[in-house]
Amino acid sequence: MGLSTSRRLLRLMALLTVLALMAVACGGDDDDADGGGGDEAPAGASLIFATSADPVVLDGALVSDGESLRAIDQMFEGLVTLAPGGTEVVPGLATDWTANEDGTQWTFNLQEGVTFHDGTEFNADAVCYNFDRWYNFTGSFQNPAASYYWQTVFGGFAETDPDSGAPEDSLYDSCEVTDDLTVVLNLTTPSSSFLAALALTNFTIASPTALEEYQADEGEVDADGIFHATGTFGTEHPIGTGPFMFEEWVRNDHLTFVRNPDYWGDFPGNVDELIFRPIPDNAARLQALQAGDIQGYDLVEPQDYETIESSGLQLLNRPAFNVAYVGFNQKHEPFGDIAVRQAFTMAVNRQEVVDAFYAGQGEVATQFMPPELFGWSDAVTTYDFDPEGAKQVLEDAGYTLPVEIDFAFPTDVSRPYMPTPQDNFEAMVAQLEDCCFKVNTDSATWSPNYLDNADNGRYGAYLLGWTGDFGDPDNFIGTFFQNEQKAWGFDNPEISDCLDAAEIETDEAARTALYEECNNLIMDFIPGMPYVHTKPGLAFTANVTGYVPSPVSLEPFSLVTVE
Amino acid sequence: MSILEAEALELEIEHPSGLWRDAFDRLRRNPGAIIGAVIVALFLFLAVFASVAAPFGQNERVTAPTSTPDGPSSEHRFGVDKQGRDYLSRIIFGARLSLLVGIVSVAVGLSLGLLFGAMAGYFGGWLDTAIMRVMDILLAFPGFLLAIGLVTALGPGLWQIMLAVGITNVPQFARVLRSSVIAQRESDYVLAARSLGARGRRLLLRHVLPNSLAPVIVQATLAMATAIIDVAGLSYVGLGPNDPSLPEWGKMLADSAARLETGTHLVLFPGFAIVLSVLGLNLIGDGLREALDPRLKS
Repeated sequence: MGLSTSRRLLRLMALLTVLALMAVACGGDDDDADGGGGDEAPAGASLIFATSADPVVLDGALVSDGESLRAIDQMFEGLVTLAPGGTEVVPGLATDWTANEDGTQWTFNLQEGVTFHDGTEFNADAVCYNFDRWYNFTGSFQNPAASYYWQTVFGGFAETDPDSGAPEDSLYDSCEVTDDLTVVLNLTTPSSSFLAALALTNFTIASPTALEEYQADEGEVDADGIFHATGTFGTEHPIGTGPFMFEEWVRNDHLTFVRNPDYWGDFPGNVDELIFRPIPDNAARLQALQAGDIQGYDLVEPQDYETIESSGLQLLNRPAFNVAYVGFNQKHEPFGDIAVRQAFTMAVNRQEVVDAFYAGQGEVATQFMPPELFGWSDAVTTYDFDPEGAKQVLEDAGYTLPVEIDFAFPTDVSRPYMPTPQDNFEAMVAQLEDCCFKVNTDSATWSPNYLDNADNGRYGAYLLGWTGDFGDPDNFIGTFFQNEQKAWGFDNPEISDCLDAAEIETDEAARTALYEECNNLIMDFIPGMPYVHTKPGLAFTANVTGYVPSPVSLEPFSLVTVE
Repeated sequence: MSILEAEALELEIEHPSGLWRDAFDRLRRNPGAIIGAVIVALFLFLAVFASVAAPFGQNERVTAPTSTPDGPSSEHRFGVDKQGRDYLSRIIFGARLSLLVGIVSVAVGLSLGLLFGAMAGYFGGWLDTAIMRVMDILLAFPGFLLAIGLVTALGPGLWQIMLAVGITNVPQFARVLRSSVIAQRESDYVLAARSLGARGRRLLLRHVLPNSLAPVIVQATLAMATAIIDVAGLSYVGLGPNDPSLPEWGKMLADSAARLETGTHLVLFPGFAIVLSVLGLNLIGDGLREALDPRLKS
């Protein structure tokens, strides 16, 4: 028995080694075996884009993941949108808009002559139908997993179920049809971030006929708290007004769109058929692009930048619209002491970490929002790298060195702002220990454990980050610090008052000044150490032009030309 | 003749051309076993004298961190890793960790396995049935799966992993020892000792157990090899020690597996280290098995 077992073991080991090497080397093979790329090209151009995952469902009101939003973006449009490649709010289905004095009543004039893909006419009734649909969500649709963005931007519902976890108050009051092409949105309180938020893909307008016919409002929450739509609107009949129409969706294989021949707006590109193919493995996506099986993919890893540029492919970068930071939980000793927070930040050589792991696509962060956004302050306290100074700060505060701290990082995850968390973490720990800290390390898998632990204040210091959804500082520092959160473990009225004031201020210049002031206050208080803003990468074959990377990933393929 | 004298006589007869001496002679003539022994000796040496043998400290940074670390050079034979640490030194310190893991987890499996196996084999009856059914249940789980389950229950950490891997080894040891004990229990010399008045514990510990150990030793060597693989495997799937600065081979492999193209050396060297150490232990195990097989004795 011993002989055969051990021999078999040896053979198995050798086999496994070889297989492991092969799996890494040929990960892409499975994905290009079946159709798609080999099919006969239609008259216009066909483009295959590799995504990192399948969309959840194609109904903007019910998703919060980037892959669903990317697909919905191609088919649906909102009242307003963002200028390509930027965060400036520009007309979408509304041609122009005005707000009353106190910012509670917003009048939108709508684009004329627009029809949905199913032939339904787009008008003021259709807009109000959509807003009322969202506002009147009941039951499982009020679950934060379903209507996350409605709850983030507008708060509660017409009748908020107290068990749903949704906020009670709603910013939304009502939608009025003034005439066929004029609609008025009434808000319960003034809000200045509202307009930018309307550009979110989540608030795009769907065909009322299709919503009804294909039971968009049926769904359930399973035992794990995951929401599933049960109607076929979001899986087989997503009907909007956008430049592309839904053609076919084979789960985990491909999602196909065709060009909307009756599109009302500009369609400068030549893509007649657009295919999204999910390829979860980073290396496999790169190999598929190199092999020409796909024409582009998202979430390029920094270490592949060199390979892409040297192999005749294009690398595009989105503007930095994110922040990676080390959060300090002030309820977790010794982070309640500002001296420790300052010393931690001075002990970490942020420049070195950014240079090492962001392939030239990162810049050191001085505050919790990117410089592209209004309200970014050039007058914040920066806490430059100074280990001796850090020691001094700790000794002056009466500590004996090294100071013991808990520090955690997430495993099995790659975020745009943090491609390899462990590398960042290890480099920081080495720097902290070189200076004046003794670090107890901890880690957990990203979802659900790590996020759960961090959100519930179970870590001392922890690595985390944020990518902006829309072009407003409220979406960065407002999200972090406007309300007390367990992750940060503090309640600082000075900061939250400042953010409250900034949120409702309607004068743009005054608002900018207020947010600058808030950023200064925040960095004096140093609730965390922001360390990098990155420009996430996308890769395309050389014959693709016209793709405009957007800071919030709002990237229509109607602009793309395949030569 | 007293019992003591009888035992003394027995020992005298047994030992001069004893089992172990024979086995050693046969082992020496087995080229596979010699190669295995050399490999294992090398790893033992590196593990024990890691701080002397390694050119740099395990967490000493020799260059700035980078996502595209340099490959092997004359200064850094195995290149450097992403944190700018000398990779050869990390591999050498990793030998210490892997060896520790192998020894501790086998010790756990061996001690529990010996206890249960000896009891089951020697006393028989309902105790045998009870113990061996529990072992069968444990055996019904694929070893690695059981280890994953145990680590999930115990929480991540080096000691928890060693304990988990050790526990998955218990049934193998218990089974091997039990069958060996049963075979010895009925043999003539035991009968002789018994007829001279030796009873119970003395009989088990002095006579039966020492003579039943040969297959267990083989099993222990082989288990050590699987333990190294299992621990590397657990680290690879993310259940390894929490502290990322520990130079655990499986973890080093996992950390760099996605970089086969840009950082080949980061994947190859820990892989080689695992394969080589396991190969060495397996060769010795095979050699021992052949050497200790009484049927081959002639």
